[in-house]
Amino acid sequence: MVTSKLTRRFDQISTHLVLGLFALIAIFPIAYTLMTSFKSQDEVLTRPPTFFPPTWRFDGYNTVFNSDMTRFYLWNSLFNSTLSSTVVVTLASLASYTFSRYRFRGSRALELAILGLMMIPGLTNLVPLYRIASDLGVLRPQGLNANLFISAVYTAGGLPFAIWIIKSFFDSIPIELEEAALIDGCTPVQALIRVVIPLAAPGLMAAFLLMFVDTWNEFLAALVLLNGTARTVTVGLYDFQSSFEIAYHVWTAACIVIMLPVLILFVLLRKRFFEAMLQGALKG
Amino acid sequence: MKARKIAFLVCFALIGALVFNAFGSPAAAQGGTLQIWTKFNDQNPQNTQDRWLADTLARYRAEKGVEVVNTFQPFDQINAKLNVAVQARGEVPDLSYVDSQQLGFFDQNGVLMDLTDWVKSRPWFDDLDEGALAACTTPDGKILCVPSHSAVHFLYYWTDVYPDGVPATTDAFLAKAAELKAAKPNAFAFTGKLAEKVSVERFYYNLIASYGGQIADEEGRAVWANEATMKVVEFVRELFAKGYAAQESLAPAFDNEQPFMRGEAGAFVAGSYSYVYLTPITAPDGTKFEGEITGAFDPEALSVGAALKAGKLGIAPQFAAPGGKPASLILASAWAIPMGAKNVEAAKAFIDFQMTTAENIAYSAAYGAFPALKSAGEADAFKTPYWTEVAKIQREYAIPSPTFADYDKGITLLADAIVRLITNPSLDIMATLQAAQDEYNAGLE
Amino acid sequence: MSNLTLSARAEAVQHSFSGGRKYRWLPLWLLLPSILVLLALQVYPTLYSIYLSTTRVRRGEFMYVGLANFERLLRTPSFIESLRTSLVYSTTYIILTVSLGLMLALLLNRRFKFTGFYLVIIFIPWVISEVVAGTMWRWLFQPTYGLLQSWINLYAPFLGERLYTTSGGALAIVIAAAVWRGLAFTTLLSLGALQTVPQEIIESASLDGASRFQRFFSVILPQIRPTVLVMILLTSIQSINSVGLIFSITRGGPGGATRTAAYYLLQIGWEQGDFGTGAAVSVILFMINITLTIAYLSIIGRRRD
Repeated sequence: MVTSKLTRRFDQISTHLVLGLFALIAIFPIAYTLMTSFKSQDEVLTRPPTFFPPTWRFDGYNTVFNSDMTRFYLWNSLFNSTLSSTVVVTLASLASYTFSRYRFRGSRALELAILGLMMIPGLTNLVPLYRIASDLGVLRPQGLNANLFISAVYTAGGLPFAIWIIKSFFDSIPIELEEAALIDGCTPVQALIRVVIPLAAPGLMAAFLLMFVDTWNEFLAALVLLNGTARTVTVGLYDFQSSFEIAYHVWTAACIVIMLPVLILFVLLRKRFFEAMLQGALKG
Repeated sequence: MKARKIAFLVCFALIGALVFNAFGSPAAAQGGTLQIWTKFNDQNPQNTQDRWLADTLARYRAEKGVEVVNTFQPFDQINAKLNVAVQARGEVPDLSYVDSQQLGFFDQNGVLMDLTDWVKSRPWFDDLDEGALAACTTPDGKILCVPSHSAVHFLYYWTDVYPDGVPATTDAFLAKAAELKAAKPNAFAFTGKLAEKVSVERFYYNLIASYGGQIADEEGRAVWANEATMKVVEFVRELFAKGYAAQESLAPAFDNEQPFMRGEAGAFVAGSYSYVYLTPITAPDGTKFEGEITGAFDPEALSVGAALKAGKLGIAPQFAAPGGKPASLILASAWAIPMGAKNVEAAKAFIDFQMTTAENIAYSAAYGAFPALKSAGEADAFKTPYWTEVAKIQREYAIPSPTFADYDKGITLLADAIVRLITNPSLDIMATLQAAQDEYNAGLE
Repeated sequence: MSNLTLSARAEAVQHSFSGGRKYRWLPLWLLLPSILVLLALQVYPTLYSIYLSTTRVRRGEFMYVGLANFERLLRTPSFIESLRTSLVYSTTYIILTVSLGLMLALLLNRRFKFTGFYLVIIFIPWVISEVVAGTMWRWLFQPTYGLLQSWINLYAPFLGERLYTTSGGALAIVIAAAVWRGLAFTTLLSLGALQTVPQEIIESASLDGASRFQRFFSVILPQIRPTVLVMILLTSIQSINSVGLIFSITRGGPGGATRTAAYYLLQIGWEQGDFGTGAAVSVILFMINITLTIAYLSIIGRRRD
């Protein structure tokens, strides 16, 4: 009895130590970046390096908030991420529902083929996508078309994964509820909207968040397909770096500004997200 | 309730972003406007070059009534993006900034319009500096771009460290570096961009040339596996092995300039434009120089300018082979009209505007390079001690860029091979250079 | 709830649904939007890529060259080396993310206080973009001014004096950053799997006197084996295709030491403007992925039985 109590105590302490260490590692680079963003240009790189700023300055943030980052890029990213995540979740819900509830000739093969698309590296398609975009004439540096196009690209990129996740949620919903709805005279689409989707809401939200974060952080397609004021936050970072110089404190301030919106979204939705992911996502 | 709230938030975000997107962006381009691509950001000016472009476009609009829409392209993407745009026959700008050293690549891929006859017919043609013009001329005599200014690379040094100037040869430099290291183990004799492709333009090619070597022949084949390159590698290996050069020299981006700006490295491979961004700077003895804003001329020039005036900072050609002559690759910034441009006449009119003496002075001063128009080079702004020295280095030591058709591939392969030889001292020099050379030449088939 | 009952239920649903003749084409209508989007923006560009891989640009013209690009690539030393780098990068990344993820999940599954808090903190790196994360890591390891590098020099000099500018060190930094960012996902997946393992199984094993490690390998691991396999395949595909971190930390340097095949594709097919060769690299990468996918699908398929 005594030993088991001791063991438990030891377990508790060692668990906290290890988890605490990993939490520290996870947060450390971010904390360092945050500290750097409050320094002045020549306090950033010193020998020996320092963690805290000697004096707290907001020059970096001043520059960022008076730049295209807050005028255009944040809004473009918000637009792309919201639009493509919404469309992905909608389309994927319809498709997953079919895969989950119907079987027709070739349905399994089709499902596997769509999952297989997940394995195409995004990089493969850059040059072809550029040519499609240029044929459609959406590469103009200003306006909405470029962002609509890239949202479509993100939608196509995220669909297979979303279908996979959402289907596993639909699979876990008992069909008796739908059958009851059908008997009550609902059409299958009504049954989907009124019965299945509310039950699978946490799963849809998890898919939405996964998609939103991925889109927000995407870099290469945005680098290739977007110009001028149509660019997104990750590519917009380039504004703070010219061919000859980089203002470290401005760059880090921009990094912090860029990561804040998704961080906030994540912290707000975390409970539902973890619940959903832990109860059933990604089980094939 | 919850679902509705979320739906509302989503709609709100979408509409908000949409409104910003539609109304926030500047007026969409119409038929009469000129579309240009540059690596300068006039919408969101962060440095002198950005501000210069914003001013110039405003001036052009005021004088000629033509709207110029600039698309900012990241400096390390602009050449690649121009190429892709032309190949895809897509949204090609009417006029674009190009780096002259990419000429062979542009020529091979048919990216730029041939401007030979037009350029020769212009009033400013006779005023063009020969070196700058040569940088825009292909080996078979086609003029594909119009140079605005040209830059060479040389050394900035702290006189605290090198009171008698930087030793002129590699041997003498190593001897001096050993002396410095013994006196101050924490300091570096030298820093500079010695990794990635640009290191070839800024350093390796120049040194190889001073040893009498070449890296490309007339047909554009790689020939860098030679005695001269080997000597250069041996020299650079020693710089790093003995700790004379700051390790930042091997890092990507701009880390390499920091040891010099903090007075920890005695000498720095700089371009004529480097004074633009070296601010603030601190001399090894702790004297700090900070630029202040004065008039239209580059405000940040004054950090370097003040240090020069105080006698703390000096300029010298890059060191050369014992008994050899220093060399420096000449890099021109130029305007070019891509294939498929819709508004060629407007583009030409803008080039004409740019090639006036006053405009050429403004652009060159903001960029920090020597004007391509001889008349502009005569201006007071370029008669300061700094520019006199730069002009002399450019006149005496400039060499043309290597003739690789796959330019980036060529200099990337060479730079990678040299860096690998530095970081792995047990590699055989000749074999490694030869392998990289064979790889480049095999790609030409 | 095991997967077996789920799919059995799904079978039952299909029977009851397919009855209505009126909705015979409904599945098609539900699937159509997704299929169209995927055809236009995934399938077509991929086919286009395959076509591009048989061409070469000269003077603005795309000329058909057959398989010459592939042939040349396989003779190109830096491409072969990039494949080798990819292998090292991916293998290390997979082993580390999966094993550390499992370890963290086991600890979190003990459900002591603050478990939720730790989970959130560990998940934060995943939210941050590769470009931003890469910049952070790069500055921490700068040879002269990097904070972590200076701590290493002070307290752990055996790790290396200037990791960032040595070939092994640079690769280690890139991998560390990738693991830092990828760990969140494997931890979460492992935790999800562990929570499906009934507590009685774990306890009955401990009554038998099984030691901790034995218990893990003989009792827990077999139960979550499918999830572990899914994780291995997901992380391997992820690591083979990822370039963002390498782009922002080392740009493939020093001297090509961190240039994976995917990064080679970015350099040659985009930055250096050699579309044909770039497309050939992408076809090769695609084949590697397809091989992994088939392996993955066969595992899923096996689980369905």
